[in-house]
Amino acid sequence: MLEVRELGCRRGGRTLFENLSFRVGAGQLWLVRGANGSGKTSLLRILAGLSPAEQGELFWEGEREPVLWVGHRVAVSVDLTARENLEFMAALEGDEAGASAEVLEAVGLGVFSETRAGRLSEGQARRVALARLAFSTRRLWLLDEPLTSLDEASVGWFEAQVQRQLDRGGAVVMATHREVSDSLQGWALQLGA
Amino acid sequence: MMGRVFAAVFRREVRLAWRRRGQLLQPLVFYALVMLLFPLGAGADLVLLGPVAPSLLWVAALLAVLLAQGTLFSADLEEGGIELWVTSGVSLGWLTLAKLIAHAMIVSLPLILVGPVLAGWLGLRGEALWVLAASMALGMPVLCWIGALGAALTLGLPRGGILLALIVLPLYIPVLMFGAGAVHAAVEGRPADGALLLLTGLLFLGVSLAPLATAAALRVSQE
Repeated sequence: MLEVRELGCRRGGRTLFENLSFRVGAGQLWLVRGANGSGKTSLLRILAGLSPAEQGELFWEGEREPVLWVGHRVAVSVDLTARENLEFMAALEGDEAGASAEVLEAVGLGVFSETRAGRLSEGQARRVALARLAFSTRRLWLLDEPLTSLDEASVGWFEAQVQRQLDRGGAVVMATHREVSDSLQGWALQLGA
Repeated sequence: MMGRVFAAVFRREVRLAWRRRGQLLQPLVFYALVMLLFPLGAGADLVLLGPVAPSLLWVAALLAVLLAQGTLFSADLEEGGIELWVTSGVSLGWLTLAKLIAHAMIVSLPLILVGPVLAGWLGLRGEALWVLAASMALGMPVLCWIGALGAALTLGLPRGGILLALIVLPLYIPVLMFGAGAVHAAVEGRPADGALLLLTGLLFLGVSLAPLATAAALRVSQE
């Protein structure tokens, strides 16, 4: 799906990583780990096309595809309701029907669907952003610390979505400090080692 | 699909503008205050005000539009909305076009409606009021789009507001000249068609170039 060759990244005169090579294949989960400031977010932003690669190259099998990106900033507008935010995200993916009440119900936000996101907790706002996973058809998901502020029930729901993505031949690259359940078999990428 | 995405962005912007209507009112209140206070300061002398009224109406409208530009993309940047747009796979220029058209409508429409009313306070009558409304309908969106480009270029910069003004004010000058020129012509009984046609040209130029240039600036802001 995506091959990374000799990738390097410098920030503020400091080398975060260099000569990084790996290949993300169909059905693979990659867990990017490392201390704060080790370059996890920078790597994911390069893969997402948000930042340019200073060294090395990315090779896509076929044409470059749009990815599903959930970053630190979850793209949830505080002045829109949970439902309106999700509908907008679904419209950008070309699947307005995907933002159904059932999806919000599934992430435990059914009763908050008409609540403005500014009145939701950080974890609830993140759940709004992650609700996209339920209907996204993107082959590659890039998730930066997706488990931050999530409760155990939400982590369970999230892992089920990741498993579904892997089962249907998609791939997930995820930066996280938390352990994922044993049922999710992933490749580890340690930065700053 | 592109049409549905365009409609979704447009609907989102209108909805956000309504929810943030305090921000929406700022340019309108500024415009009304300048228009109401200036004649009081000038002694309410219509003979004195008459010759400068078209320029005054346009300069105040220009500054009111500038007031609405500073925060155009700041919430999108802070919340991660621009990241969502860039990674969406939809043309960033297309998304920006939808946002800019909504923004121009939201900011310009109240000013275009209030402008002729306030112009009456400054002594403008008859055809001059229609020409003012027409010139504002053509020129205000261009001012909004130039301002949007400046806002995208200065996004995330400390004290970006000053830089924004320095970038966009020189670009505002042609719109100001043609807009005020059209109203001056109408007041003096000369045809205003030439200035209005030039404003129409700027409108088409703006809608063609501003989304692409603004989208490029937004993309750079992410790097």
